[in-house]
Amino acid sequence: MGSKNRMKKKLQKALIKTVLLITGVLFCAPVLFLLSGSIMSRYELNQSLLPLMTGQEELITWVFFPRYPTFEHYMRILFQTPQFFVVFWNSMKMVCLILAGQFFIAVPAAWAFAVYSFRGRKFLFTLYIVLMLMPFQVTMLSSYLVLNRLEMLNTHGAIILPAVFSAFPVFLIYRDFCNLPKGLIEAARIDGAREWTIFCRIGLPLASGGILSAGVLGFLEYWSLIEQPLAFLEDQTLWPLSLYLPEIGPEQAGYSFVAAVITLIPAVFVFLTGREYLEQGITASAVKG
Amino acid sequence: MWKRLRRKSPKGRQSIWQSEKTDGTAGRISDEIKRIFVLNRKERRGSSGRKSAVWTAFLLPSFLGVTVFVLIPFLDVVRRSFVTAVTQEWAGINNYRNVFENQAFRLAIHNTVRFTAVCLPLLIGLGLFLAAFLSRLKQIQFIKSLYLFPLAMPAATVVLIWKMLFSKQGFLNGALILPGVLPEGTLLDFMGTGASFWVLVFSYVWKNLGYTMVLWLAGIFAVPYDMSEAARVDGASERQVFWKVIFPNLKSSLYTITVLSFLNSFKVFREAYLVAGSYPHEDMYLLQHLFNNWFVNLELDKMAAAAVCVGTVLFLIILLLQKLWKV
Amino acid sequence: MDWHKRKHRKITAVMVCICLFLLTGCGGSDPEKDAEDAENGPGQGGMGRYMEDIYKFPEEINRNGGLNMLSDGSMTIISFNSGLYRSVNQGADWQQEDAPWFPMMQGVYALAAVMAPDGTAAITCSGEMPQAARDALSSPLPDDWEGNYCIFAFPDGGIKIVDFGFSQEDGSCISTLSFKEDGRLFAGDMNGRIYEVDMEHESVKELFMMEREAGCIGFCGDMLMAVGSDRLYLYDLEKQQPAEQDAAADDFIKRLLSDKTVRYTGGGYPLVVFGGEDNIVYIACVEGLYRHALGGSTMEQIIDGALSTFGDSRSIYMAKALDKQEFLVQFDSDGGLVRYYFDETAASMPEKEIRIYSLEDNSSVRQAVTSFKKSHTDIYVRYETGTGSGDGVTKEDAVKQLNTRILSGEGPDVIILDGLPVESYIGKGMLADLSEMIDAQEGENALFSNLTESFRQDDGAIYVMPLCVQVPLLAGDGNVINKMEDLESFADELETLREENPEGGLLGIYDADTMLRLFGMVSSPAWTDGSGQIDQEAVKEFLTQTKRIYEAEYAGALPEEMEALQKEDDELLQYGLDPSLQKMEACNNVLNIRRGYAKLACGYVDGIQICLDNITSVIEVEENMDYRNFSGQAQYVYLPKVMAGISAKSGEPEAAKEFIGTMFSPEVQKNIYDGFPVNKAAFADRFDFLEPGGENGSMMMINSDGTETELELHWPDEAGEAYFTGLVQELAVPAVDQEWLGELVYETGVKVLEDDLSVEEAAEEIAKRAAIYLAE
Repeated sequence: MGSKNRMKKKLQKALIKTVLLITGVLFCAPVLFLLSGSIMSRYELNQSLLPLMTGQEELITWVFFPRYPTFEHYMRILFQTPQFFVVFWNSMKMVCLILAGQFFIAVPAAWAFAVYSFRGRKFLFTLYIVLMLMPFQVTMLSSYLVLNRLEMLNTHGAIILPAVFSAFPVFLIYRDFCNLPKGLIEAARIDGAREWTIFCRIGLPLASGGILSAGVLGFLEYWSLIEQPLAFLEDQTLWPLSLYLPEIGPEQAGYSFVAAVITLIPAVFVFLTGREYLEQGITASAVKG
Repeated sequence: MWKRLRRKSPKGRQSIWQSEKTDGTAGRISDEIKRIFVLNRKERRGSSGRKSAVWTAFLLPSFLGVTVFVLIPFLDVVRRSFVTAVTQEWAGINNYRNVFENQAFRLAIHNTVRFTAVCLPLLIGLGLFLAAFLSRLKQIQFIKSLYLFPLAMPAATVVLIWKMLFSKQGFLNGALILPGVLPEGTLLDFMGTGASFWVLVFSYVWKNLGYTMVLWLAGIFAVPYDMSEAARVDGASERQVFWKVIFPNLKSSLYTITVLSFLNSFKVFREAYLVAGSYPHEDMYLLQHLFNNWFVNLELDKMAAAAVCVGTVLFLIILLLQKLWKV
Repeated sequence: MDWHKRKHRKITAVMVCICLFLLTGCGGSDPEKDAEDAENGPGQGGMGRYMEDIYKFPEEINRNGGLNMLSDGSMTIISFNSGLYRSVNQGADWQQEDAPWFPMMQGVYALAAVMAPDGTAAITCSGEMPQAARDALSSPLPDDWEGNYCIFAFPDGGIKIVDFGFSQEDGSCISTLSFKEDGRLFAGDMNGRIYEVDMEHESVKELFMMEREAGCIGFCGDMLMAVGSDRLYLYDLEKQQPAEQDAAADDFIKRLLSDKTVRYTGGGYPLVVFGGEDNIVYIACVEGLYRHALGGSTMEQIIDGALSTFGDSRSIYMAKALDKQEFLVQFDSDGGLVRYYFDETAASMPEKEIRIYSLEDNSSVRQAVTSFKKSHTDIYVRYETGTGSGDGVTKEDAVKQLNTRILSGEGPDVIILDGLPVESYIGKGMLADLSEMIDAQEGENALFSNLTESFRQDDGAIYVMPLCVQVPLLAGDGNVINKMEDLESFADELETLREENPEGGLLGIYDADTMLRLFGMVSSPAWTDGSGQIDQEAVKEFLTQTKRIYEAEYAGALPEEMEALQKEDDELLQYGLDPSLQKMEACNNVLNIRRGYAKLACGYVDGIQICLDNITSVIEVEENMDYRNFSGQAQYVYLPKVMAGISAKSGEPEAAKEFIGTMFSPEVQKNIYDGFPVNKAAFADRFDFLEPGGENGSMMMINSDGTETELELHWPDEAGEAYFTGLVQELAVPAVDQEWLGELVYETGVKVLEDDLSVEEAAEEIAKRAAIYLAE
């Protein structure tokens, strides 16, 4: 009797696993498209995508294993296009600086919201959230004017500084800090610790998961930033990678596939390494103290 | 170092902390803590009020930055909502009146609300559903990674994939013709019909399902194993275990996920825009399309007024949510 | 998490990081660009700038072998067409001189012609040797000899004709010659080999080989320099071996030549390298004149391309240093000879700056910029375009950028409104009133008044004025087209024509989308009423009539004709050309009449050469044919192009007005090829290009059945000119691109034409979808 049950359970589990696995692979199908497209020769790409480009009434075809795989596009991008590296490192530089800035600015702010109750806390916090939700078009011109006044236009600062003060990490990390046992803090205070020490010794370590998860999500977001660089950076040598992906037209198809793959790599890398922290961090934030 | 347990005290709401410190000072500190927690709320607030100066230090840099880079531009937008677009003459509440009567605005709001109302529950529910099943398995790292991939895709690629799937020449047509759902020879451009709304929904869910699921999973795993184990021992089926034991403890996760998903629902715009242009099918026309077009045509006054309206509404909603969730 | 796994993870992570780092390190940043950007741009401050003295050549000199400096202080140029020219005043004036060797290169294709400081001339030609050359041969050649030969003419009068055995077939034909100051002669062939030529012994010695044909050969001290596609080849003549590469020069050349957005035309070179004093090398290119010490690491820009003719011309014939701060540059044939000298008293940067903006790069605007810069040396002109090198940037993004800049006060002064939302700009007061300036244009500056009037707003102001226009025309049997006054009558007449001709193409257009666009071109102004709302009835009418036309066309269409035309379209696609764009031009469609594929042709014309003359020539040949203006739902429609306006927020309105004035001046208008100039004098001048009624070559067209049709082209005669001018003077309605509506109508229209949708339903759908736009 028991073994039948166990068999049933095992079967169930196996079934669930398979279904989820298949769906998961389907989810990743676009990545497979990208990968296979990036090693296709120009000819095959044109063949496959021709109906799409010319608007004819035919279905497009796609072969996942190209008949004549070629790395010519990779070669072109990596070795023959100096602009690509400029753009790549622009993105890297901007994102790293943004994340660093966010760490120093947003984390203390979240701590302040979580640990101290002061008048207007709710109001201010809600304000933060609402400001975070505003679509870019709305504030684009006004931000432009402000940045112009500060003479930061056409520099990377125009992208980095506003992003550093974004409310998004504040929100994420706030949840984390909220769930710290208040007792700990009180105890430390009684022990005579200064607020700053409490923050560094107690707050930071316990919320490290949340901080890292905010970092990962932040990376993913700023790595594919499009609107702000377009609006505030006139000089194309300052542009980030996300703006560089050329429109996928007939001649450029292979090239843009490769560019997309290369754009993907750091993002994937970051979230693969950060994944554990992502979960850890959200663990803390998801549980109410 | 600290182990934490939670028990419902006789009073119902308060929780009592117990601690075990390895070096033996446990006892003294836990007593202190108990005392502190039993203190009157007012007094507690009073004690932290002494530290009022300190919190400013923590908050100030962020606050200053937000003021300069976020608040001031928004205030400028508010100002613009009361003046005309280019010549900047005073217009009173004309702009607001225009906006409220504006058909395009109504359509955009309708679609955006509809989109949010459909997407959020869908995403949250689907995420929960998947997480529930996933939680029963071991070795799920790989599967989790699979689902997280879409988050890393750049918008231009997503656009191409959309085109490859949903346009007249796309795969979806092929997939439907094969089993005969679509008659042979007819090719539908999904982006140009009412189905475009669902394309949008699909794209949104696809991108965000991964980490929604991860968040739910985290929440599920945070529920102490003993509780669910106890229920199982008592004879409850998996489903009952889930609904009766685990689910009630997921409130906080729900709040986080809701806000994050809401934030991300705005990001759908860029892809929709790249695929269907500035004037997509009616059903796909979102608030951001409207803002975008208004900006191109220099209708800054209307844009500002609409933004202020939307912002105010959002503000009220979030305040409401906070009250409801008592966060 | 397993410790083991974690470790694995960390190691992989580090490895990937290193890999990425290395890879990107390979590419590296661009030191040249950095150095250059540091030098470049305003803010250099200080005084002193290179000024230009422009010397115009006599026309005949244009195809020539380059400037030669002689030891007696004079300069010579050997023109391939007309022989030797000498200037004794540093290039200002040129006189032709007889040269005994000139007859030996007449009539043959000359590749290079240079002169040494002592007066020795060296010329290389390819083809059939003229008699004069044969006579001078030391040993006779067979009568039918053809090939690459060289002429050496010495100061003492001796002339040698030498056949080195090179020929064009294997590519070893000598294509470049260059004298070093000491009289040694060097040559390059088409395969990339560089030789030293021994004129005495009539032999060549190979020095080294480049990866492709040498652009130009220059000298610096004892170094021979040749420009490759991504580096500078250096050969040490003393040590008789290739010298070490100069990294800075290589990077510079590589970057410049790999920039695909710049197209090099004009017959010269994109990059010319020449030596200066000591170890100094100068590089002349579109970005300006650069000075570089061989072996050093910086490229110093001494003349900014943006401030000089360097930036406007796309190629350089040759450049030489006259002195340390004096240079002589010959740009492509139109640029003439320019002498640069350093003026310490001039400000190093012009004080005023005006910005010109257009969504896409436009050559007519560039022309205007060049012309303006020459006449206003105290104004720095910056020409910006919206769409960059093709990114994930859409047109609307570019417009948003522009709007942001304008509204924040940093916008351009002159805006070219093609592709921008013109009505919004006018409606929101973004443009300044041009009427004063335009009304003041008279005499040879006069513009077609009907055209200016068509852009006058109700309040008398003119905010936008096109630089040129494209004229829609309709050609066909005179009796038939005379009755085609509007769209409905067009459909009526076409149906009648179909009845009379049950088989065969009428318009020769079988693509629904193309047909809609053709008729939409002359009907779209009627779709919106005065207040910007859609006239649904008009749209319905458009769809109804075009459907009739489409069906009439298909009623008797011959499959073989359709197939043949489709095949030609596919071929065009292969070449990357868009066949539907080709069909919008009347000059292409009218050829179908000649070939028998059609009886009528409509479309727009934007020029005379191989455009209007196509039409007039076909009319001459076919019976009863005539042409007239093409009317659809709107009559006397024209397509305005390069619409210019001044930003109301411009900081330099006066300068901007002058710029617009320049754009409408006859000189600039004469060189605009996007359409017909709106300046009357320039318009008339267009017709003077060739003699009235003169021959203009002929065309051979291949038909589907393999037969060929020939068409002799004739330039319009006086009567023809008068007729067309009269037609232009009747134009009244500008068809300003309303993309949103146009695309909507065409998209839905295709469904109507192909019977997927009824006219009623289509009109409703259009109204519904447009409602969003209008409601905004």
